[in-house]
Amino acid sequence: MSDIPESWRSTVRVPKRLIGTATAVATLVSLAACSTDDPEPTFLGVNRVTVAMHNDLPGLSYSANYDRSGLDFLLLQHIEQELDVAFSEPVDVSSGDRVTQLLGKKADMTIASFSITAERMDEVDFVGPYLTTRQGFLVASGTEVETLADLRGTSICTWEGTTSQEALDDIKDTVGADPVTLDDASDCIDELVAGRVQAVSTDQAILYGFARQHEKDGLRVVPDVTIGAPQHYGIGLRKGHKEDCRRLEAWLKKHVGTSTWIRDVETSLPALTEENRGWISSHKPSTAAIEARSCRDTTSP
Amino acid sequence: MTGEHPVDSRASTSGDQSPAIGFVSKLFLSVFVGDVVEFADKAKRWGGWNWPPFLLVLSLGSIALITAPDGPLHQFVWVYAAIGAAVALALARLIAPSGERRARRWRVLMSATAVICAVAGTIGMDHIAEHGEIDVTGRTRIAPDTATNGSRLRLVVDSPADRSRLRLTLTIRDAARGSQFCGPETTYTAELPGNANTRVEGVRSGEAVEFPLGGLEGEIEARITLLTDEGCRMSLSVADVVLHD
Repeated sequence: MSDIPESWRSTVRVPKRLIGTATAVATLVSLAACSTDDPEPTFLGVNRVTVAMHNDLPGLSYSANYDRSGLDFLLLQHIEQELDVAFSEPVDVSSGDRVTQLLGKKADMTIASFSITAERMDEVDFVGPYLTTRQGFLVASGTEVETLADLRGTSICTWEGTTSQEALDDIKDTVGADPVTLDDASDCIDELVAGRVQAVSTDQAILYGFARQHEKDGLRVVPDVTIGAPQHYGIGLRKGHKEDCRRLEAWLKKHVGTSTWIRDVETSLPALTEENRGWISSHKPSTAAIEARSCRDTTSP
Repeated sequence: MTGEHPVDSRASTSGDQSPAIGFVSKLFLSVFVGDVVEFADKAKRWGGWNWPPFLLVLSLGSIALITAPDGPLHQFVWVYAAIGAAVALALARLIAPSGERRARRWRVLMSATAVICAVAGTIGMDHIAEHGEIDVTGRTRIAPDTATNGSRLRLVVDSPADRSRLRLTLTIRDAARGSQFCGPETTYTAELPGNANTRVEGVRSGEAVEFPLGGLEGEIEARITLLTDEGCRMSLSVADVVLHD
């Protein structure tokens, strides 16, 4: 097969092994050098970001058998792809604990249908909004509710730690409804299904998720009946990371303008997009709205 | 003058403790105005022509300060600077040692500049009193102080229209801070009643708007219409209201 003498072949094989070994050693050494010289990438001051999320809001952030779904979860996946940093498994958070969990450093980022409010902006930074919604009403099947006046004399449920309580307190005087505040969303839905309250009131994005989940119970969102100010969902961050905040803001402005954002909302909240033909104009935040609310130290102009 | 009767600082005091009092007085003066003897020597060399410019500058400065009207401080800055410079130059001219001819020219220039600055300061103060800005923020009220989309508010300035224009700045804040942040989308329109030409649209919190007040008599009134997202409750307050020409 070859004209090379056997003695020569042996002399050639030895250097090849040596070269192979040397290459392997050099690779290991360079890898070791890389691991010691290059600092691990960090974001928000940590090299492993912990995100707080709801686990009980179908369509937005729902967890069943350790499997998460919803618009908030899809947003987190896009952020993970965008940022060159490791993420821990999301931690669960209740509506009332979203600010305290961030401030107590139990989470570095909160993606949990977290409405941007003037009061919360004093304590945390927001990047957003990534979705705009309004407070509406979820009622049981067979309930004749088409206008706000139809809720006169009814019991309306909402849960603690949300922005929905204040607007609901206002309609106590104007409509004459009786607001009921429970611990969490599932309590209110149980009460509605059981007929002990006549409506549940919170952000429509959340209500459409419940309407879809409880289709068999005949729950429906009352169309075109809203109260209170628009709710702008933002990503919550601890203050003091302006550069990272700006980086996330720049990405979000691009993301909201893509078809991916539209597809994510359509996939997560099909009941909302099917019932509202013009949902993009009412739910998609503008670039100006994101710039006006992201990474701000003050609510003053 | 001092040749025949040398100055004896102790001679001007009397009584048991007079040397001590004289010493303390000298010490005090030497600390605050330098050595009293040296000071007295210099004063003797002050020429009679030094005094009129100094007194003129002092008089003009005093008149300007006494006639100063109320108003935003920024408009007085150059007037105060002119008066300060005039007094400083006149004083420097007064205490500067007389001497060579060249230095005398400088002293004349200093006196002239001091008088010019003092006159400019006095005229400037008079101009400010006639045409300067009048801060009427404290005399302005707006009602109601909480408004929603489309709300009409009445702003009243409890002051005669002493100037030809009004500059108005309002602050708009979220009234329901715990459940909303509507500031970025909130604007207002403003106009003087009965004068559609004065209508200004799309004004944001903290932005100043100008209204012409030509011919207006009595108190000044403006109509404000709030434009914000449906459901937002906003709080309006007066940040700055100034009358000016």
